[in-house]
Amino acid sequence: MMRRLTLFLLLVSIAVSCTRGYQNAVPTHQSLSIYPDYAGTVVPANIAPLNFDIQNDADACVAVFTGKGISFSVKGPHIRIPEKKWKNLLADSHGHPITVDVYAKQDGRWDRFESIHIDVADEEIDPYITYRLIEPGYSNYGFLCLRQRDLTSFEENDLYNNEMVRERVNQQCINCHSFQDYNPDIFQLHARQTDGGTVIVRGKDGQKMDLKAGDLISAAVYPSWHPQENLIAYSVNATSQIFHTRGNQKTEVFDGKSDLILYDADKAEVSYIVNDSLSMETFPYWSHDGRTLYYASAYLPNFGADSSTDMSNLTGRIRYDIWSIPFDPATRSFGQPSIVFDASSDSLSAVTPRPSPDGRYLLSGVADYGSFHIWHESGDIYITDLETGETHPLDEINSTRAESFKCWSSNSRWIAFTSRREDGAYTKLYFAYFDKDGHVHKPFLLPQKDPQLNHRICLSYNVPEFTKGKSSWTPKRIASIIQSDPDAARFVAR
Amino acid sequence: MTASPEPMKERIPGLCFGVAAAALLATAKADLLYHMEQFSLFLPKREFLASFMEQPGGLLELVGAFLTQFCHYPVIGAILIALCLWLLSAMVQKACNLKDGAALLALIPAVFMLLFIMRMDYAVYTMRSYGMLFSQILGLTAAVSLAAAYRNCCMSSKAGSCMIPIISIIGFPLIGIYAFIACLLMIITDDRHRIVNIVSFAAFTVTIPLICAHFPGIYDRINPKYVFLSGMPFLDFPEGLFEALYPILLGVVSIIVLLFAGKASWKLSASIAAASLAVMLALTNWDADFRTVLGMERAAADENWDEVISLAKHSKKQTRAQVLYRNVALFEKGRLTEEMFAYPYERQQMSTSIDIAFICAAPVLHYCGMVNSCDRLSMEASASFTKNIFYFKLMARDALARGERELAEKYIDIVSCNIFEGKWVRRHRAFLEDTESMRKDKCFENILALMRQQSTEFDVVEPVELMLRRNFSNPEYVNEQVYEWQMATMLSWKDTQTPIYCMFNRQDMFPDAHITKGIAEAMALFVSMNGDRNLMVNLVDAMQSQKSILKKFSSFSNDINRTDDFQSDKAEQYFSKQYGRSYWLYYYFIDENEL
Repeated sequence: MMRRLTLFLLLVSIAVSCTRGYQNAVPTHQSLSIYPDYAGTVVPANIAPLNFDIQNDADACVAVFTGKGISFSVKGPHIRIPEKKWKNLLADSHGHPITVDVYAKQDGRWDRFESIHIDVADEEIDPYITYRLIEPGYSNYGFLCLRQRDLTSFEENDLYNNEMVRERVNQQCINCHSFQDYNPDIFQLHARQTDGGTVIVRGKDGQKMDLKAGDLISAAVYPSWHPQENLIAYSVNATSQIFHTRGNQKTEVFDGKSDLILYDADKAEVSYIVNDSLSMETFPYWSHDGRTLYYASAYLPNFGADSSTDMSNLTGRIRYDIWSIPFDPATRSFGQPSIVFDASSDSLSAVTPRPSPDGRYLLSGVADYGSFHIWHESGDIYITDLETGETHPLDEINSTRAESFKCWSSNSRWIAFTSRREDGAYTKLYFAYFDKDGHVHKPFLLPQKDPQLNHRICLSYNVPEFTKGKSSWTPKRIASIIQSDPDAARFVAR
Repeated sequence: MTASPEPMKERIPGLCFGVAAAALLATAKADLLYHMEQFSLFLPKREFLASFMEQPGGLLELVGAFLTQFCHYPVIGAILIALCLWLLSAMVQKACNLKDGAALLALIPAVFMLLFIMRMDYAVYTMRSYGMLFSQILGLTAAVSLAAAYRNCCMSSKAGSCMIPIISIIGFPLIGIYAFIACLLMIITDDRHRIVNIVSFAAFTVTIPLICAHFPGIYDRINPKYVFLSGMPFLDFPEGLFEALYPILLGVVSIIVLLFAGKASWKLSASIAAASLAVMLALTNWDADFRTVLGMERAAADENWDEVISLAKHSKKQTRAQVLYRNVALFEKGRLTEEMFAYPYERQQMSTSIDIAFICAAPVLHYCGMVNSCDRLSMEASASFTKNIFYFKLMARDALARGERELAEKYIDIVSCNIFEGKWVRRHRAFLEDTESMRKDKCFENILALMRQQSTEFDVVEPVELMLRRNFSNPEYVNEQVYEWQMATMLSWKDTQTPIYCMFNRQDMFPDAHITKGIAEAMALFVSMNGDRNLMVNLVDAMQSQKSILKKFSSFSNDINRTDDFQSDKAEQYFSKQYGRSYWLYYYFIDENEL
């Protein structure tokens, strides 16, 4: 018994002595390397602990977190911040910076790196975000899931996954989830191939719809749920894919044709919004007041094409602009379209418009050409000031690699976006603070309990969508709807 | 309770079987074991380990994935499998209380489980579960062990009546359906609690899987349809579930029968055991092509090109996969167009419906410098089936060749988690640190040289041979490596015009350049077909050192003109005897569509 006690005390004293003495550390000029890089970021006051790993060589490390009136230390090099301490620190630091001092012991001497500052914004972020996890594959797919992540903790759960219909041969693709006005219990998603159809969930009820009605060129594809009405705007796309044999860009996904349609969920009716044979319209998105629909449109004659052209030979020349069309919810009628961002005039292609809920700004994905910018290294995020009409790239969050999906938080102060900046192949999820003056701040990577998970994971984060809470729907409940027979939507002419 | 020591006589058959099984696996299935290791993955990381718990029976897969790592050295893998089989037979002996001569019968379930491995075929390229070499043996062993423990410890006590609920509730999540097999064996063994046990069995074997399948929040990632097959590789065999899994069924049935076996003479037991061994050997997959392809794949992974060529030489009937691997090996040895037509012409279909894209296309495209195409197929396979070391290694090498440092590092880090990949990881980490050393590496030197030829900008989904053809269809001279593949693909596809341009183009640039045998034979034929006298004069000039080929072609040409039906077997035999394996025979007697 005494021997065990001695051994225990010895181990405790070794552990204590490893980190003792850092208070007397001397400043070092070496630069601190941490993963993920949270230095200089602005974070919401309700974010999960920003765990990180110290990558500098050291015999021992300590990180000291100091807020307005709270300070605590965490042993490194793997900094795993206790959740309770972190919450207290954030609560204490609203609108103030958190200082992180990192100490490293080498050759018996403690060094102190230059302090890191993390600002805590006044505005919180929506507590949940839903994304799809998928291999950055080409035409095949295996495991796919829609995950809901609690951003205030590390809790994560499946909203739906395709394992529940997994077969030896037949697979199921799931994509394009869209929530109505950040409501986690009003959403839609598509299933393709096995048990294909569109799942429409409205509160406690759900149904599967077949939205390929009339002479539509495809079933419904990219969705946007009207913020107030039971209406969903979709694009219908004749999409193809070819694969690059050279260079670092791997594949090209492009449309041969595309139109916009409106689905009335109450009447189960679809109708055209825009159906111009000389243009390809896609990626619709409602403004938060529900009175404007933004979308991307490529005018075929601009790149020497018409409705009968094989687009596979023109992929590098197809360029989209951002357009808007007014909508009157009372009469459910659309007005005349107008251009918002004339990207093609600058030899750019702008897609996936995302207006901020406060109606002031519009984000769009911009690249040299095409519409599927997740595969384009030139893919960046641009912002348009809807009051002045000025558009510019968000250099603070763009990288040399593809930025693609993005969305606004419900208070218009946070942008979630995906980027391949880490390795060029796997999209990761980032967040950036967008202040009241219209400035975007340095982005930070989705916090993980073990930050190395971001490095190890061989799945891409797709289509991040904020919600104000956790969905009450479970994978098995959604599966039961997906496995039911679909109801057919009726096509009506406007 | 005191256990009586097992007589040595009863142990010997089990030991002999173990040794024989290890020897059989290590010799006849060494390349299969290596393949299973390469097409597996084990990451000692929380999220990876936790993913196995998303399915009932996941523990078997997890342990199987861990043990599969040892198959990197097939002898060690074979010994481990044999040990598991021996353990199974020992547990069967205990559970069925087989004594004296009947002890030999305990080998029968192990023989059937060995058959499960011995029957594996091309389905091993499209696996959706990990650790199959071990998981099923371990599952059955666990079931029998529980039954044996029950027989020895619980049967006579009151606890016997609550063992079925306990094993069902705890066992099903861990070992899946094997927990219920254990329960079934207990019911058969135990007369005393039979009624209670049958009722519990009926209740728990139905309700527990159904709860797992349909209750929200529990096992949200399973297909309810297959919940009663949990723990078994039910998604791994596209060509028939029963056909693949019947050895396991036979193993289970044989254990049930053995519970009633009682005593049997040594002679009778030996006869039955021998018969089961004979059945096992008779039903084993002896497909020579499958074995050759696995051997080539292993040799190629070690860049042991001589071994690939040796396997090609010993294969009388070659399949598409063999031809592709052989050509890569010949290229790496600098003998592609020199020798590629000197191999057996006889072709056979691969005995599988699995797309060749999942069998050998990715490594072949990698060594042909088509790294984007290789990357695509590797990613497609990784997404469709289990993620594995084989494709991570290829994708790491593709990323290295493309200069995608971070991506290569990510994949190398993943591969480094596997215990026997140290040598590969060190080599490729060195390339990461020092790209110059990568450029000097013989294999990468070729890949980088071949990457300079990309005649097509886009790939579409098509057979690998067509992808090669499209890629190397541009006749412009780029470098020697590209020239070899240009000519090899054009000659394979019997393109009679472009190779002439391609060869003379090179001769203009390098008048003293050597013309390989395959190209020389093809040129003689094509120029003769072309009929242009100037071209013939130029060819004779270029082939000063290969006049014997021209002379032989002249004789061949005369013979062909004299032959009425040169596509007959008789004609083929004659020409084969007279002219050996040459491009001319390939041109006239091989249908390129068979490629």
